[in-house]
Parts: sequence; structure tokens; C-alpha cells
Amino acid sequence: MTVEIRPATAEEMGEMGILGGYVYGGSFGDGPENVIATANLPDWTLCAFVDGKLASMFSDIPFTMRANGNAVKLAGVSTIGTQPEHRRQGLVRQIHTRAFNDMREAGQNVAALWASQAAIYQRYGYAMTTVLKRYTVDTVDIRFHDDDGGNGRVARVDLDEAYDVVKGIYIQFIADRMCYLHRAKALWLQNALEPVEADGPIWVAVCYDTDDEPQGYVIYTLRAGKVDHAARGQELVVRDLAWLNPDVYRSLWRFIASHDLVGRVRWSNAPADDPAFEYFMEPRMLHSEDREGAWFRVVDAVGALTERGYDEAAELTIGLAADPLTPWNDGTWHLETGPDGARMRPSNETPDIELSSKALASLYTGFRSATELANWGLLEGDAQALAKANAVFRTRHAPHTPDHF
Amino acid sequence: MSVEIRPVTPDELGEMGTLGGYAYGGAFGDGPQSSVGKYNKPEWTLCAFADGKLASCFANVPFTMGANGRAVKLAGVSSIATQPEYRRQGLARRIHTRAFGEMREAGQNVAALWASLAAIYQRFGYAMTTVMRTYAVDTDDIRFFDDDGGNGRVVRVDAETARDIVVTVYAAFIAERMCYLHRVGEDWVNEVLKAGRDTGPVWVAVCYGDDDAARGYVVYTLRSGRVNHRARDQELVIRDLAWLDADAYRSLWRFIACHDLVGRVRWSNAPADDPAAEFFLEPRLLNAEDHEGAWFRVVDAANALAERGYDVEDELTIGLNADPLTPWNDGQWHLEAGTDGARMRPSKAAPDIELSSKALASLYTGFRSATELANWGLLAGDRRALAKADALFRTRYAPHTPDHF
Repeated sequence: MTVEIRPATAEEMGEMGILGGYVYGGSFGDGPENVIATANLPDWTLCAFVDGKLASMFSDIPFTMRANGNAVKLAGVSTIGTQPEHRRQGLVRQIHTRAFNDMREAGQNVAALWASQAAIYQRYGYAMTTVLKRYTVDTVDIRFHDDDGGNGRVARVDLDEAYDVVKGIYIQFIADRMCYLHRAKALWLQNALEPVEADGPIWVAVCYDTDDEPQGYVIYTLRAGKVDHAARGQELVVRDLAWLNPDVYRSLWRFIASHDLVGRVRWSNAPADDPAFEYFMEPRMLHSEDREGAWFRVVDAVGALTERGYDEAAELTIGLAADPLTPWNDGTWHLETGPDGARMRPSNETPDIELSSKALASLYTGFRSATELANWGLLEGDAQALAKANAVFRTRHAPHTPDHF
Repeated sequence: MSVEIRPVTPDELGEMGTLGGYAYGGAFGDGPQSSVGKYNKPEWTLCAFADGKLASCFANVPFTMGANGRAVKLAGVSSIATQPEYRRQGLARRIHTRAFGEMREAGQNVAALWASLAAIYQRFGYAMTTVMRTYAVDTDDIRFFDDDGGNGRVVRVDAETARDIVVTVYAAFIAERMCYLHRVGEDWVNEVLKAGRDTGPVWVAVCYGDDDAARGYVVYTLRSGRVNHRARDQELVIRDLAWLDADAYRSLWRFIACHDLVGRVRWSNAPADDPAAEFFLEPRLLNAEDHEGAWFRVVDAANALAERGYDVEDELTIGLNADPLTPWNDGQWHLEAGTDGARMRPSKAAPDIELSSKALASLYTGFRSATELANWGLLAGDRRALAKADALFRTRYAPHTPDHF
């Protein structure tokens, strides 16, 4: 059996489509013309060919994401699938080993994916570092504990005009945030603005401040006959929501609450630090659930930790456990951070903290604090080092990736 | 209508029981011997009598809780109910106004309750600051991402042996934690080890380390016919679980996983920072849900903030918004905190951060960071002040109160 690891050619994309149709059970369509074949470019792919036949596939979609105020390259790992005849043969590991190298050379210091199964990716050092918070709430339960429903003017805008407005707001919304993707038009059309016949029209409501400046938006759909309720049978599905100040956030909910025929508002990709819970009079009526979000992997620790934004000026010596998939990260590093930038260099000092690749992903994204990881035996360091690491890696907002890819 | 606010006499406890039976719809029993009548002591109560008749009741169960390494008095607010004929007349507010004054005099600087409805208590400055994490997982899905099922020896012990162990291990478990109650006397042990009407026997398994010292325990019940599964129809319900190191925690799950006939393990009062999601091979199969936990209220800010434990040395000037229920907290305070203790004194300096009573409860318990509260418009302060406040109020563990009262 000869194994060749290489990108697929343009002619082989249809084969990838068929493989994707099989492994995902048709979730993304079947056959050579499905989403897998048409939404990937050959040079994003890395596949294993066994005796010349496509056995396993992978793609790395080049994204840019926010990293606590900075923009950084992100490898959007996707389309991983292996023919059942070739499973348990280490092909995905072979692909990943080469892919991590390729990413590093391309300056993609961080990778992320949506896991079909966590078991597959935890072994490659990915950690779940974002959650999808889901709300299911009746419009009659949208009430504020302090009676403050915001002062913004919320009005629907024509879908054709909406794109520039929502894009402008989204760029500001994510500027200081963590793990949000920069959205090219294709990503908007694939997620927030994707036309789906069964969902009916896509509506966009924009919130304006007293100067008539757009400060927030909600993109949603509205369908009747979805809720078993004699008076409120409609469902309103929030696809995307962004806000530049708390007054706008409250105003958008107030606007949603004015949909008197809606018995269920569903928002399935809210961030972990969404404030609805703090504002609602009866928070439990949000029926909030945290679902598994995207999994992140630090590919090149020096590159990743240097280019991320920090709010604290500090120095920290970090010991990274040996990891055969990313051996360039192994060893001890000295990190010097500040609001103006960061530097990282090899060090001979005793590390302040020691951790694995997986724990590093949790720390880097700000999803877990050093103290939490230490409490769970996933990071070592004394109380003083933990306090320092907590302050250094703290993010302004919880990490979040609302976009599936 | 003449209203008198006073504790009940021993003879009036039965009346309180009857009111509790009505207000809670029998959840704690009906009639004079309901839990409300049976378990409260007259001196814990504060009631409103309208024209001599019991109209509204309230109890303050005196607890001690852990506060980031310190033990502090806690007012366990409970048994709040008003006859429907006397609702919307401000009786609960009048009781609370007097109760907060009495708590302060008794050195109960913090109060907590389990809210029947959040709407009632948010207006009295309580904030939800703990969650009850619920897991429902098949034993077949208890697998570790790193194959580390711990090295502890886990064995069941008889009830007599269990008593001492659960008391000792629990005391060590909560020593550094936040918002956990001190469980004193025989009552709690008796309650947790008592079989329910349909629970079957209560089992206690203890995890021993290399030195044969107890390092953790799990209290649970086991019943067949509860799960619709042809091979695993038993349900194992965890009542209480404590661990002193990550190895013991893993070992307890490994022990639970040995119950091959169990199709569902249910744990309904795990803390927000429980590490199962970090250790499991397929975390989503925990089916984790965060339910509303206990609500906390800072009664006396100067003393509550002075007696709590801190892990960093710093000073912070805090502006507390006017609150007619606790006017003694209003104004500016200078907090000087360190690992050896803290002091609060009135201040005339411009405050570093400004917030409401409700936001103070979130900050005090470590449930929300200053940065989060500021992002949501619930705390004012510049970036430097937020960083300082984040570091000061950070707790070693997430706040948690597994015990209902």
C-alpha cells in the first residue's frame, strides 16, 4: 500500500464531494457537486491517496480572526473524512502532521474546526474553547428586571441595503473580541444571510442611536405554524445579532418582543458572555443551553502568542510539554506582553507555568483561566504564577465563533 | 389595615406551615407540619401580620459559608410566602427592609436564597451567582480523552464509616471554595444519607490515595427500570461528590463507569467549574445543562468585602449606587486587600469602579468579572480599573452552592 499526501487537483474535487457525501451521511449533499466539492478550492485541500485512490481528505480554509484586539490568520480546518475501508490506519494523523507544518509556514499560527466527534480531534491537541449558547424564549417572557428596554430606534431595512450596514457594525462589534471570524461576503452568504426556502424571507432590523447612527442589528427569519400555541404560533429565529453598546442590545430585544404572534424566539449561536441573563426579569425563561462550539489548536506557539492582543504588561515563562505533532513548540519560552505588543523567545529559566498543547489552546483563547486549568491538574504553577497568567491571558470578551465552516 | 412585622411565636409556626403549603403548592408538604412549619425556628422568622393575621412569612437560616478561603456568616433566606389576599401590598419589601437591618446587626453580611421566581428577588438586589450544572450521561460514554481514569482506589463503605469521611473530605474540599455552605451537625449527614421514598439504598463510595487517606467520595443511589435501554436500564443518581485532587475526581468517574447496567448517570448539582468536559473523550455526551442556582445579596458591603478572602494585594476605590434597602452601603469605599486580610473604609476619592447592589453580588462572589459587568453596562470603570478589579475579585474556584435550603 503506497500512501501519498498531497492536495486534490481540480479534477479530483468531485471525488472529494462523493467522499464527503458518504461520511457526513448527506448533511452537505451527496455526489460530486455537493457543498464539499464546490465550496472548497483545490489548494486548500490536503488528502491521502492510497494506491492512487482518494482515501482521506482535509481542507484548510484561510480565515482571519480577532484575537483580543488584533487580527490574526486562522486555519479553518474542515472537510475531514476517510473512506471506511481506510479508517484506523493513521491517515488523518499523517495529514494533520503535514498540515500543521504547512500552516506554520503560511503564518497560520492557530487552527480551528467544528468537530463531528470530539474524540477524533482531542488527540491532535484541539480544545473546545467556544460555546454556542442557545435561547428558546416566548416573546411574553422578554421583560427587563429594571424595566430598561433601551432607547434605540429599531427599524427593518431592505435586504439589499442591509449588507453594508450590518457589515460595518459587525466589524466594530468584533474588533475587541476573541475568535470571531472576519467575514468575507461568501461567509455572510453561507451563514447569516444564506437563503433557505423553508425559512422564508430573511429580515434585518437595525438599531439607530439618537444621531441616527446604526449601532446594532439582528438578522432573523419568521415562520408561522411552528409553535403549538393557540395565540402565538410563530417562531422567530435569530441568525445573527451584534451590538455596540448595552442600550442597543436591550433595544433589539425590545424590538423582538414586539412580535406578538411569536411564541418562540430561538437563538442558537449566542456567545458565552451574552448578557440576556443579566437583563431579563425571569432569566430561566430563556431556557438557556450551552452547546459545544468550535475547537481551537495552537499550531505555532511563538507566532500565536506574539500576535495576540494583551491588556497587561507582564513577563511569564511558559513550559510547553512535548508534542510530536508540533515539535517546534516544545520547551520553555519567555513571553513578554503589553498593550502595545508581545515578544516570545526561548528560555533556559524554570517555567512559571507548564502545560500541554490542548491546555494552551484553552489559555490562549481566554476560555479557561490558568487557575481553572491548575485546579483540574492540566497546568502547573504556583499561586503567584497563576495570578500573573490569569491577568495576561484574560480577554475583553469571551471567545466565540458563531460561524460554522 | 394594621401591619406588624415580627417573628412568629412557637404557637404560630403551624400557621406558617399552612401558608408555605399553600404558596408552594405542596412542594414541601401541606398543613401545619409542612417543612416550612417543621424545620424553621421561631427566632429565624420575620413575618407580617395584617390585623393580627399571618399575611407574609420569611426565615433567615443562619449558615456559615466559604468565601475564597475564609469562613463568613450567611443569612440563608427561605420560606418567603404571602397569602394571595395580601400580595402586591409591599409586605415582602417591608420584611426585607427590616431583615437586612437585622442581618447587619448579626454580622450576616451576605444573604442568599433559592428563588421561586427571579422577578421577586432581583428588585431586592439579589443576583444569580451560582449555577446547578446537570449531567445525564450513559456509563458507556464515560471515557477519558487521555485514557487517564485515575489511580485512586475506590470502594464503597458502610453508612457509619461514610459519616466521618464525607464530613472530613467535604470540609477540606470547600476550604478554598466560594459560596459552599459549612455543613454542620448531624442533620446534613443524616439528610444526604437518608433513603428517599423511591430511591432505594444510599451508597457511598470513597476514593483512597496511595497513603490510604480518603481523597474524595461520591454519594449516590441506584435504581433499575428507569432508562429505556434493553441492556442498561438502571439510573445512578449522584447526590454529592467531592474531590481533593484531579486524580481522585477521575477515579470516582472511573468507578461510576464500572456500573455496566447503568444507562444514565444523573448529577444535578455539579458546579460551573466542574472539569468533566475537560476530561471526557466526548464531552457533549455529558448532555450538560446549567440551571439557575442560588441568588446572593451583599447586605453589608464594608464588612462583606473585608471578611472575604483575596489572593492579590491591591487597593481599589468602589462607588456603590444608592440603595434604599441597604443605605449604609451607599457611597465611596476604599478597599485594601491582601492575602492576609482586607480593610474597607469610607473614601472621598473618585471611585475606580461604580456599580449597583446587584452587580456587587456578582462581583463579590466571583461569578462575573468587572470586565464582563462593564461590557454589559452594569459597572463603570476604565480599562486599568477593570483589570485591577478582575484580579482582586477573582476566586480560586467558581462560586457554588449545591445545597438547597
